[in-house]
Amino acid sequence: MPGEALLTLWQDAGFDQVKLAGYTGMKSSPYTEGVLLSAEKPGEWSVPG
Amino acid sequence: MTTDLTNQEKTLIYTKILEKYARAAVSPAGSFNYPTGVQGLRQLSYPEEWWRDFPPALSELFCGVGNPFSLGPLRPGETVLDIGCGAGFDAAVAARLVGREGRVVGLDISPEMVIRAWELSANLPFRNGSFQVASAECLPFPARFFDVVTSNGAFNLVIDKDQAAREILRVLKPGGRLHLADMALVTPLPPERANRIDNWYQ
Repeated sequence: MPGEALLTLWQDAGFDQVKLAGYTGMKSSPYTEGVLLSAEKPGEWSVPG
Repeated sequence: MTTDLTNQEKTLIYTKILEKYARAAVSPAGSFNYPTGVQGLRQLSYPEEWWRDFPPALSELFCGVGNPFSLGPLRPGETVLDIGCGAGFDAAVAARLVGREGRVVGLDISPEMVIRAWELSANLPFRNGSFQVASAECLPFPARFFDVVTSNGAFNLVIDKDQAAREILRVLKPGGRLHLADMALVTPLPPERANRIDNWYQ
């Protein structure tokens, strides 16, 4: 799955702040590389405990 | 994302992935085309102070494709789910970062990996982690349970990615974070390689 499709997948699932942070240099084939992605569930974070 | 696969194809993919990771639970050598173990950790800039007192076998079984902890801090006391935890290296890092008031659960579909994770975690200097055999498509947790979900090199192996994404959203607390490292396609596959079932587990 291309990185852009990965972004869309998480956005469509309902996540906010979906960001592709970059590529990692780890290649499992000539066609694939590691990516870093972050996202948040909508709503307000509260202090744990 | 997966509706064009037959049930027979899904079963084959699942079986081959389980076979691959049963072998990797003994040694990742030869199963991956990128650096694993300590070489992989150094290439991905995992700070050594996070893992230098881990059992050497735990570091050697690392087969991640990125450093999800580079995406943002874990806070003391947080509850973390690591999906596709393998032998438990990232779960151990998370357990260290959230501290004794925090909790970490590692999940993997491979029973051999979960057994290794329990064995190796017994020699860690903290006891705030646990491991279970489960799939991202059916997470065995109540809604709004975790502060953070991490995953490293595993989501590309999930057959029904839409279902897994919905499950991850469900178990995260409002404002909870997803920190994901995964394999992505960066160059279109040539026609003779596109849609091949073995793309899933090679």
